Amino acid sequence: MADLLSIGMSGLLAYRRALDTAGHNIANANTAGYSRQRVELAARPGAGSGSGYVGTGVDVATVRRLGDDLISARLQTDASAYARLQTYHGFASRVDSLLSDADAGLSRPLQGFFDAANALSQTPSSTAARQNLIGAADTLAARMRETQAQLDGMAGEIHTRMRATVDEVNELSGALADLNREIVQAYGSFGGQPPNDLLDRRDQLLQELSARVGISTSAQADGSVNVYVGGGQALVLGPRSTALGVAADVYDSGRLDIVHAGGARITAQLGGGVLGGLLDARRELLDPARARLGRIAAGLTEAVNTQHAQGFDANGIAGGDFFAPLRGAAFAATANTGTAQIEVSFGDPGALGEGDYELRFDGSAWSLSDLRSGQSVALTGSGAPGDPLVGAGLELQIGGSASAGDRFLIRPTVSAAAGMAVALDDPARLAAAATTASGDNGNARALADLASGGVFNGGTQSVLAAHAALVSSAGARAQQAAMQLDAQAAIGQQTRAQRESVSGVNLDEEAADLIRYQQAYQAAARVVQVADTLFQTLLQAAAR
Amino acid sequence: MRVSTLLLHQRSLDLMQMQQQNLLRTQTQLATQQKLLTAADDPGDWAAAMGMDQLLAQARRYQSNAEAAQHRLSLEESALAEAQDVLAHARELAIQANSSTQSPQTRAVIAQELQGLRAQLLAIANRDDGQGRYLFAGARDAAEPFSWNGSSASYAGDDAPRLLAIGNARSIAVGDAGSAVFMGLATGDGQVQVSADVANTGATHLQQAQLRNPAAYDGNAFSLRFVGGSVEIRDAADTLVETRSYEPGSSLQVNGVELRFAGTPADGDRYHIEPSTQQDMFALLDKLANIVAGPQQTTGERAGAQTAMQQALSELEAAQARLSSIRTGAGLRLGAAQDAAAMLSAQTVEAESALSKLRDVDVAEAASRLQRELLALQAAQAAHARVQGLSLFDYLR
Repeated sequence: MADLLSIGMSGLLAYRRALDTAGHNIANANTAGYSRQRVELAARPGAGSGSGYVGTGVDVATVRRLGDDLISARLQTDASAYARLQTYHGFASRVDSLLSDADAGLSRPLQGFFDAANALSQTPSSTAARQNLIGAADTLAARMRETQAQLDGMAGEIHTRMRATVDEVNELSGALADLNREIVQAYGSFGGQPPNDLLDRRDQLLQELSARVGISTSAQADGSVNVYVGGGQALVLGPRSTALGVAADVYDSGRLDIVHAGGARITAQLGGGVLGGLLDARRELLDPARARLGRIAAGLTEAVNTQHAQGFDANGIAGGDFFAPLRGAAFAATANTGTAQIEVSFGDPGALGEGDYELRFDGSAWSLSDLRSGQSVALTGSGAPGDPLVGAGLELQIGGSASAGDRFLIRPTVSAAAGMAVALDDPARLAAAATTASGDNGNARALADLASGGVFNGGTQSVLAAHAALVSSAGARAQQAAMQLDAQAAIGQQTRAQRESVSGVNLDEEAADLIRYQQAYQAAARVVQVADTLFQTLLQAAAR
Repeated sequence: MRVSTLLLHQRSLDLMQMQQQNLLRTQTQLATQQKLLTAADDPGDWAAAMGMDQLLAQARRYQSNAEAAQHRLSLEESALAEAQDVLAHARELAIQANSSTQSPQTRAVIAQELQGLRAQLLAIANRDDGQGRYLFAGARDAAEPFSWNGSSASYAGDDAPRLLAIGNARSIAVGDAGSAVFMGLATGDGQVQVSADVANTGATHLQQAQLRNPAAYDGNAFSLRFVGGSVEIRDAADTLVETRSYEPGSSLQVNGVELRFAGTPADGDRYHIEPSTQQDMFALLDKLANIVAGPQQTTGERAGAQTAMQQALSELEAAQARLSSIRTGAGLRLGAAQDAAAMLSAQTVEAESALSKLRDVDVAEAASRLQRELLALQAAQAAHARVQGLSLFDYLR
């Protein structure tokens, strides 16, 4: 009879566990990252006797977590891709809105400038018309500077968010290392039984980490997980984590690099997650948009100044600078041993590109190469004072002396629009005439004709066309990003649905389980009662 | 597929969110009447619309130029018409004064009237466009171009009329320089001028003088002297070159110049033939007035006045021809400017309609889309409420 009692007791205990687990599932129905758990029941092995093996009850073999490692890995990939696209799309649509906006965009001031030049050609000696052109140019220059400031602001924001995201990554990898330790301990404490809720927690943290930066993981035999970023740099190894850092680039140009322990720069190897989105946005959105804007500013300044210098002002004097000449940015590598400094000014806008360049000195000669394509750019001039290096539409004036191996980062157009300003303030100094006759309008007409005249790409692309290209390429990037984001959201939704299908709690199912386990519990209790009754019967028989 | 409670909830929320995003978009489109809100909505169409915008702005610039040109050219044209009237009137007066019925007093009145016409012509030549810009000053149009110094006019403008762009690589002159209109008229027939010697006493006067054969004329002055029935041809140094017999009324051809005189010359009457010189239109009127006002007491004086009048009238004719040709040119350019303006305005309308197709929202379509999206959102909300209200726990009592 003791056997029946123990069988009943085993059922009571097992169904008590099962009810506990159903209750745990119900309680965590809305917990993020929770995987439903199920009690795995196993029949106790029968006790052998001459009449065969007699069952001895039920045991809880384990509390199993219903999860799928493949789905977890896909969730991580999805989180990385989605966070990257979301971040990227955020910047893409901001750049797009900034450039497309009818009121804040450059279309109106650009047209306004050419309208005013044309109006001046109608009444070339009118002071009001001259004042108008200067005013329109002022508005255009201010809008250029404003647009540059907005884009610079976004680039600054990217840097702020890079720092914040790196902090988050470090916090998460620290937490993961801690969890790894706890999980290894937990496995050891109860004979290899899985610490389900800790595992859920770790999966959740891995997902959060992969939303920050693209990672790869590898599970270890002891139950811990190693995490790597970029090209295989370890972030978490068992119970230890390594912090990422943020540092100025080798040229100290104001751009930030991500560094791994030991100072290795891994910016170029990182992808995915918020960090990947930020780096992509910097490389594919803000740098090109600013470079194109700067190119328009530099080209317009050069073209207008060149034309203006060919005319004569109200006093018959040849025209001076209309817009203040612009300067490009140059940075000496921090490792340079020479004292050379580069001053970048603009030459032929037809040869001006949109990229950044690296200038190298090998001890005797200078060489210039495009940073994106890696192609070298032909240079003329010696670089000596008064004989600047000329190439890619740039004039590079070298001050100080360079040592062999010195490198310089040349970013000609990225911040050029910030310096755009009208140099002319006296309307009488505006050179509207092509001859010294005060009433001639030849130069005003030529200025107005710049609206459709080719300036860039060897004189085939006008300023307005370059602006249209700037806006539509930013629009195309934003459109692409939005489509990719939608697609990724759909993919993510599918993966989540699959995860929910395997791991999610269904309350109706749990309700049914509650009823089922409750009934089984009641039945087991009845078994105990029967065992008791049998025992009493026996006692009563013995008492007579 | 197994469905979790959380998924059911989340999915219907996601769907509602999506419906609301669509709704927001349609609502913004309807409120702004713009189909493309930013370039990202359709980069291709957006770039096309920007190109169209530039085309429109360029067309508007050309149109504004064409309108300014029309204004200037129609002012110029009417000024030229008035100048033509002045010259025609001067011609009538000169012919009237040349008749033998005039007394010195009436001729003095006519001369005064001619001087008045000269002043009137000067005022026309100095007319501005209503904005202080002088019509006939070329590009130097800020100051009055013509001034009268008592015997001729001086010109302060320049020779290049201003150009305005009215189309791609197409410019139009919005005026004619005063120098080309009123200055630089050649005297006589345009190449040679003839004058009667002041000492002439005969009644003969010039009827026609024209350089017929420029190759035969060496460009030097020479003179004719009538003696008896013949005419002496003398060179600039008054040396006798040739003597021909002369029949009064017959035409002479000397050094390529054809000359015909009316009346019989007195012995010793002389005529001087010289290359033309330049004069302005105002000096011409002044000259006419002086001829009319001059003494015509003796036969010689009267014949001299008639010769001078013949020359001045042929100069006046040349001046009228010049005005007429310049006015025709201005009229042609006015027509071109009007054509250009009309064409640009047609282009503008077309470009605007194309732009509207690219950029503007189809209101009927968007409104019906809004209706559809509202309906879908309502359905999603109702479905959410119904599904969330269902639970097996409700039946466990």
